[in-house]
Amino acid sequence: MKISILSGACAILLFASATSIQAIAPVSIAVFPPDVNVQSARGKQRIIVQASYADGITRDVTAQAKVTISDPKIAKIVNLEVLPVGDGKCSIAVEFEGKTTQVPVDVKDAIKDRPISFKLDVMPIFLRNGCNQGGCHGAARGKDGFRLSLFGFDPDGDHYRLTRELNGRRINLAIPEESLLVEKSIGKVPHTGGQKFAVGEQYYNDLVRWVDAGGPQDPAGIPTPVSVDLYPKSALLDGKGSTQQLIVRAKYSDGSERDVTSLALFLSSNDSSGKVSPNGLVTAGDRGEAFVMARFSTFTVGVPFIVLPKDLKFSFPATPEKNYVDTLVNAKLKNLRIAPSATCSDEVFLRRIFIDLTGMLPSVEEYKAFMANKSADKREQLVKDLMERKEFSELWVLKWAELLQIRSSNQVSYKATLLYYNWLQDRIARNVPLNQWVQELLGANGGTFNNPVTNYYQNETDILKVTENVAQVFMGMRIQCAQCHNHPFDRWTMDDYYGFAAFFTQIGRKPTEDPRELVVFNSGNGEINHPVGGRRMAPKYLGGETPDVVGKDRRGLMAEWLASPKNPYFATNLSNMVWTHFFGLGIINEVDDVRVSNPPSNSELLQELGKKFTEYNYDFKRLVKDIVLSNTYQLSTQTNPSNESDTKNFSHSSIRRIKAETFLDCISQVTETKNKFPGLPLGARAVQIADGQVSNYFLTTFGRATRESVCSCEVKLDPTLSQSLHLLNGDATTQRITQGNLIGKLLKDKKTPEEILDEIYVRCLSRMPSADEKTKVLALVNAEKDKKQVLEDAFWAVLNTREYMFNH
Amino acid sequence: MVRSIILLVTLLSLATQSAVAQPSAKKINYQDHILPFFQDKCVACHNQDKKSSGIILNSYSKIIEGGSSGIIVKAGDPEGSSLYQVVAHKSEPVMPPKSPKVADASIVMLEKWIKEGLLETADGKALALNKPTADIALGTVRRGKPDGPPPMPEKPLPLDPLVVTLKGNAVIGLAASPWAPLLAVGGQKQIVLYNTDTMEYLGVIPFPDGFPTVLKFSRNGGFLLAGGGRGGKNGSATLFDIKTGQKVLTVGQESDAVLAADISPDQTQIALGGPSKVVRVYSTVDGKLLHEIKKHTDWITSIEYSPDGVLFASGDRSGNLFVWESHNGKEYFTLKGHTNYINNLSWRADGNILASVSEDASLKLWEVENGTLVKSIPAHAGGAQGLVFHRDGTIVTSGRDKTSKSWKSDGTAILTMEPLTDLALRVAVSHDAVFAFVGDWNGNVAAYKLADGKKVDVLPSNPPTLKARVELSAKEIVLLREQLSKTSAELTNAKTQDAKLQGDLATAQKSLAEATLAVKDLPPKIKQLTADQAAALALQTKSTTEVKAREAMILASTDSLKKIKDQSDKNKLDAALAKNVTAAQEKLDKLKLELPALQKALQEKTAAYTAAVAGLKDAQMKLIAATPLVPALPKQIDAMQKAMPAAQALVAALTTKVQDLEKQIGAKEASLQRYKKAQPLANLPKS
Repeated sequence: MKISILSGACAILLFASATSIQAIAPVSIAVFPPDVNVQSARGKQRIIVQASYADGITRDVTAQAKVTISDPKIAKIVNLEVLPVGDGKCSIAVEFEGKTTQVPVDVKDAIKDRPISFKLDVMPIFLRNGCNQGGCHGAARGKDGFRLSLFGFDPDGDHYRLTRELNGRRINLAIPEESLLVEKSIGKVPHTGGQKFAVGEQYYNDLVRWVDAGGPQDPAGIPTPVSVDLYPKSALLDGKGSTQQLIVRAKYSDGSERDVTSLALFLSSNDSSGKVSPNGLVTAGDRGEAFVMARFSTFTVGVPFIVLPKDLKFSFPATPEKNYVDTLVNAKLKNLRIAPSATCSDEVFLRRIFIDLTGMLPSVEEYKAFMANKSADKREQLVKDLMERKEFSELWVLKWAELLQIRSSNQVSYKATLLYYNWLQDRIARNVPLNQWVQELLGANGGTFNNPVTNYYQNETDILKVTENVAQVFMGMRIQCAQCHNHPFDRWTMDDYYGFAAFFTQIGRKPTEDPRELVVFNSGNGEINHPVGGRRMAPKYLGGETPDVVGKDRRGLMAEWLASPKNPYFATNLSNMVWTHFFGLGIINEVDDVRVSNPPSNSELLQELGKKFTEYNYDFKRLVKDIVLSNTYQLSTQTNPSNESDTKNFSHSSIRRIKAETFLDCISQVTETKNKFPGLPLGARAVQIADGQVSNYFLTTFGRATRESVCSCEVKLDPTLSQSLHLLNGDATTQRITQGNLIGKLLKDKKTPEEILDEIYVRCLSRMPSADEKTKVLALVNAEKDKKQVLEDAFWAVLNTREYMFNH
Repeated sequence: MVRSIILLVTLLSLATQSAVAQPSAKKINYQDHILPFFQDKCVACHNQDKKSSGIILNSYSKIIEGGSSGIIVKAGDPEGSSLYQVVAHKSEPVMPPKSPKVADASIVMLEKWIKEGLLETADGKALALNKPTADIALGTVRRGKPDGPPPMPEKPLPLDPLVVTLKGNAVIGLAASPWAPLLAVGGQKQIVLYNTDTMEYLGVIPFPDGFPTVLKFSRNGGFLLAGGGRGGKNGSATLFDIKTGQKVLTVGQESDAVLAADISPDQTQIALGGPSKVVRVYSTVDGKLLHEIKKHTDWITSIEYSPDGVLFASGDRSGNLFVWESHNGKEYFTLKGHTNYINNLSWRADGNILASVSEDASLKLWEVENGTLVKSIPAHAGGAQGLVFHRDGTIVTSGRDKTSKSWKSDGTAILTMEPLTDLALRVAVSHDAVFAFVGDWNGNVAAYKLADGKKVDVLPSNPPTLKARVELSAKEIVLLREQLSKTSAELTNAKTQDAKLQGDLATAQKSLAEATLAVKDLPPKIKQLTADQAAALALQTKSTTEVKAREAMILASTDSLKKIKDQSDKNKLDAALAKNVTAAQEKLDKLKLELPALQKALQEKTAAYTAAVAGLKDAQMKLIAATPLVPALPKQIDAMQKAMPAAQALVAALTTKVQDLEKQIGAKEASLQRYKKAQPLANLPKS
């Protein structure tokens, strides 16, 4: 009996494994790198084999795959590495579970040794082992008396410091193994940074080999890395503990390629889902996404990893796809095995779209009209209507005024500020294509009154700051790091930074008769030098080419390039900015933090939005329409078990705090009170304030942008205690309720408490009170003699609900 | 590939090795086992300067004292000793941080040490005080040359280096004895000594604590102070007796290599410093720490006592320069001016001026009466490195511009020496101020003649093995001998040439004298001879005529006799006729009788004439021969006379060369004998 049970169990097990084997027959296999190029006797290239399955899952099957080399006289494979044998070409055939593929192999200089190079062999060791990071020897003053340039931005300086700064100390030409550099690294003598590697490792051998060679500097013209590839290009791992090896290959200026897996520094954006070992082995953890990056030389490259629970059962629900936005969002959700939330109700949509498009709440009449409308495309109708309102453009003027830092100061008079604001308002109200007015702005010349857009160059006069602002606002790049060292987690080098800054070196400024006005003009001279070595930098588009600038207005050229399809970052960045407004979260988040190590959560979506925006000839209204009419925008905030933990793939709508100006306007709107702001008539809305300098206690408390920097973090949306206290006890609610006397007016109109309660709910929350709410509140009202007082209390209570304070 | 052949046989490692080999023989104790382990892994943070968590691990008493959170070791109880717990990764924070766990053997050793009761030394007794092996303190400071012969190594030093490397490393320890022809060069775990008169290699002094980074002779030249250690691990300064080559005293327990050190002129103090940023002054009487000066904000890079020993100066990596009072370690002056790493300090012999060189490229002269900057000279572009203020007033500096320069004591430039191929790091000046020695980045010491800045020799900081040296020496001798025999042959040849030249000259001079005489005497003689010839011809002609006349007369007389005889025969009785016949016969006979005399006379005259003709011709020929010689010969003579000095010089030069070679061979053979007699390293007594 026992035996039969056991055998039965075995049979079941066998069956189970048999089915799983059947289930895991791959649909394709891929070998990385796609071609193997090995140079010099020291050359090597690790290969990996990735199998893809029907459900999108991938597996690292390098160890199981059968790998054969076509000509053993050319190359051999040892420990999954292709090693040179003789010069020539051949190929590697890979077979796994019936699938086969081939990669070409090219071996050059198979028996020629390559001399040790400081820049190619030694410098990467410091990056890989963390020696030159900011907390260690990369600090500005070094560590324990020894400094390396941060992430190796100055190899020549590092060579000097290693060999000749403190003579006789750091390297020992006589006994290379006993160089302090070596002994510290291997922990033979105490090292604050600990033991970095061991005797006999590649790093140790290369350091010793370099010192033994006399610590030579590289000859001029040594190849430099020009690009770095990380393989595989993506992975979808099935269950905790599954692994995927990464390989990194660098391409050099002489056309050669090297496997730099052992020299690259690996990082993961999410260790709990995809932890990457120092050697590039990714191990799946909890369900989620991880962007795994490799840094080598000045390059950071990354690949997306998705980790799913083992053998997850999932089927994607039927979800309306209104346009490309939905298609692309859902495609990603399918990979993640996440089901989107349902579409939101009309009431929710109404309130959401009003706040997002106009910065106002729907009036009672608007609410009623919309709810009564039975047509199938009433949401489209509403969107069309709202986008024609002046409030729509005012909201975007506010947004741009923040980014362009429209703010009076010692340098910029109030008059100039106002003119500047008017200029912006005019462009947005007329729906001038974004690229056109951005070009006008960046290339601006003339008086700050005559052509107020020139104030852009008066707000900020420092060349480097202007450079950084332009990159951050219009391209979403924070390139500040590259002012002093190559960007540690992005592609930007100091060369890029100063090359871009060279466009802003010829801004002339001269006074006019009016001391408040200045003339900004192209001075035609002024250059910028690289701080390391003092090279004069030729103007180079950020991530683009080096144009001929002789005799031309450099800013004009830059503006023309920046706001055009030639700049790959412009359209996507502005699309992302628009997207962020409607979702409270960028596809790249923060919106002005575009970098390799902060990848878009849905790259295809961002690219498509950018593409469409370009196709629409930079008419951002059309882009807005695409976004708000998508089902993705109209999803409910209610989550389901599969999407409750999702925070960045837009599988449900998010609850967002309303920004300061809009919130104040909404309070004023529902309480029927008026505000007075300096320079504006009584009753003006907070979004209409032109000058960033102008504020009040409410706006400051709720995080109004000071416009002192271009950072997207200027607008603060974090809830704070003082905000709650202000709403509870401050003049924003109680006083306004009294001042507006809405309840009094309604009572005067002989409205019943029930009607008044309905009015309060619709006004503030764009919905009718629920039966439960109604019963409870009316019970209180009936129990009280002073109906006005108790209804005002109810009004106050609604204004203090989270439902009111948030857009949802 | 064998990069370096390291013959690591230091006293210390010998001790450790023997301890490792026989673990049962020696109980685990702090001094022999635990301290070296701590130095390897822990003291970078747990030293008297950094004191991480208040824990100091390079002092036994401080370990017993514990750290800021209380005791760290409990004798007999490893589980209750947090020191053991964190090293064994049994509790947080694990130590050493950011590193893999230390080897199991070390953890076991640590556990055993605690279990066995925290022994300090092998015999369980507290460590004896660090006393010098000799009383070296001087009662007074004496300026000028000390009594007696200048101290030189009396006992042969080990000639076999402890560490042999193919290449040298940057020379940063370099010093010359103030009174003896002795140069000390910091090598790899040893100090290499050379004779500054002969540039001869004298041997090595082992420096077991690591790499010597600073060398200083005591003011009387009797001792050599060597500071150094292992970077990031340990540092100390050791005093060696020059005469015996033996260690006298070691002071300092730094957690990084000592970079600066000096011994006071009265030999009672040693001051040292390094990356700890603290100047520590030790007594040479009992090895005790006298003062700790914590004013420096960066690594101490240079220290030197004033000639009278009342003050000493110290410089650091940031350019701070202070002067201290030796007896109490109190600040005397802050000398502000340098902006970067101070590489060297040197006092003028009278103690009134202090010179300093820095990476800020300058040589600065400070007046020590009021602590003011007297002169700042941009001495070496990129950074000034080496500095010596010799007692004769000459300043010699070196720097990153690869050159060395000499200056007058007021800072006026004298000359720039031939540049090196890499950074010129340290300088020393021989006792007699004849040579300057410059240590470079490649590990060599270049010897310059101070007078003209010409490089005369290169002394390596990485001497070869004794065996290699013997082989090399023997090879050199063979080569020298070959050279000698070749040169000797050349000399012989040159002498022959010279002798021939002299003979030729004498001949030519004689010929000239003769020719000159001939040209003067011959013309009158020819005239005479011509006359003589004519006279002889006349005489000959006359004699010929006489002979012919006589022969004619004889012929006529013979005819007449015949006629008479015929007549007489016909008239035989004619007596008259007969008488006539007789008379005619008589007459003929008489004629005939005189003829031979005449003929002989003719013969004589003919001979005389022939002789006269020959004489004349001879004289004429001689004149023809002599005439061109008179102008020609002086030229030849002149040429020969001119060639004479060169030939003589060649002979002289070759003679000198031969002598020199013989001398060199003599010296080499002497050295070779010395090397052969010297003990190879393996046979050195393990004292």
